[in-house]
Amino acid sequence: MNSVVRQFFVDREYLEVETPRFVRSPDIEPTLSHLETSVTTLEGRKLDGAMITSPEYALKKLVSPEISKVFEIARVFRNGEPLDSLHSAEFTMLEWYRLGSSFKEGIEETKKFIEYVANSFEYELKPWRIVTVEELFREHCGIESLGEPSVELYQGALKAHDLDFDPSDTISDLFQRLFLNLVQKHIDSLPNPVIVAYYPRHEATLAKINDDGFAERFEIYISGVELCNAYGELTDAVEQRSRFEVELEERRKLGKREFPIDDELIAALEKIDQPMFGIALGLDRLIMVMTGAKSLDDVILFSTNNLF
Amino acid sequence: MANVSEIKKGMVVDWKSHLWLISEFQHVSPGKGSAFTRIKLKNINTGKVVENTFKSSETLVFVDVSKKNMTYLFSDDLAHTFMDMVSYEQVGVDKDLIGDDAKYLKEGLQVIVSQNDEKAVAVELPKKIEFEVGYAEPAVKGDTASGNVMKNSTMENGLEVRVPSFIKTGDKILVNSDTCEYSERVN
Repeated sequence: MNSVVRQFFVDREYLEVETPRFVRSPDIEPTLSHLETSVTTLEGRKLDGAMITSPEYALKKLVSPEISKVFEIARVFRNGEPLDSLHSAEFTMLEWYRLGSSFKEGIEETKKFIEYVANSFEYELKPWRIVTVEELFREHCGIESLGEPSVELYQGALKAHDLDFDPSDTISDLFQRLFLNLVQKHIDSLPNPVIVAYYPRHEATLAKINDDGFAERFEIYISGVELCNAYGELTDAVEQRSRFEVELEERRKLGKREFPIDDELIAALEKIDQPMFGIALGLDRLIMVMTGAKSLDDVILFSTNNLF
Repeated sequence: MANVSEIKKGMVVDWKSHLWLISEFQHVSPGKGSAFTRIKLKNINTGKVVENTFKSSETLVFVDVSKKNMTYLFSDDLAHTFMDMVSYEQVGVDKDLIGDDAKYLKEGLQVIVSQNDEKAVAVELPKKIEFEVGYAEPAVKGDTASGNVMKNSTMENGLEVRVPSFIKTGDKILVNSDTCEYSERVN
């Protein structure tokens, strides 16, 4: 698999890099729990950090006009997540970043990548389906527009479909309840690979907000398995710092460790004045789909599930 | 009460004043927001199946069930009857509870019956069930060449299964009880 991946990117003049697994400032997205650890030097100095959940920050720091295309096949670690057929505590993430690439060009390149892999696995890929989140919510949740999303809008739709919600739910939680209860079933039932694009702005995470007020973010589902998360990357350093601060505040509320904001990443973003596309793709899940395996344990050698 | 993240297939929960059997579930960790669990629940009284998404941090009331190995005896208009081969106690199970899976029942079949307060709430069939082939269409010459290697057959209890062309009447085969597909021939 890795040689197929490398061939695709080498043919497109991407530079393969290796970035650290153990870092001081890992991804601080509030729901993520890290495999925390520390290094103690001979003199007894303790370096606290964590294993990465994604090589995203390091790769973004490397992208520059001189090295505009990078990719990495990285082992990543997740803590506090279920261990089941779709989750392992340690797995392989493929990420690639391309400076000067628009979101739409990113979608096209991702399709080409998956077609390339499918071809080498002799997997019969059905025609692509591209839908926006707004179209899905209009068809399945009865919500006309997601241009002005609100807690009330989502609660109203949940009530109309006789679905439960909790007073503690954030706007993202309400959105997920609608998505998982009403939309996902439809995606699961399609034999086609589905690209779900343009999320409402509260689901932006590290994506840029476009002129219509939607996040430049897409996910791909094949046979109901979510394979990747991709962004027209946010390159506004000021906006990025303020989003990080909100995320740290949420981590504090959840009682999770507050890692230091990665100032080097903010500084790197300040130098970027072009659009950037970036994507994180679960390579093991892609192999699972392409080979028809039922569980990640069948495609990851010595998976966490099998070791413990 | 217990956390949604601790559920397992076959557990029974008290939700919205009904008892439900967990028939399938899947954990989902979205890119943003809380972790969720999608659960397929089967109403123990009506047999109705609903799908609902719970926050993994939510709590559900789990109901204690006892599990016993039992053997299928017979069916009448209302119920399927099973027997505990240790105590020789007979248990009637509402037809709705088993639903379409009743097609796999045959005399002597070993199942696991879950009970709550003496009432059967779930019946678990073996993953693979052995049947004797009651009738299999004769293989048609040339089928193998055209790639059409499966044919119809009927098991001893009337269950219809597509089988490979080499299977004959009187053979014993294993059938997957999730998919109703041929699994292998028993020698």
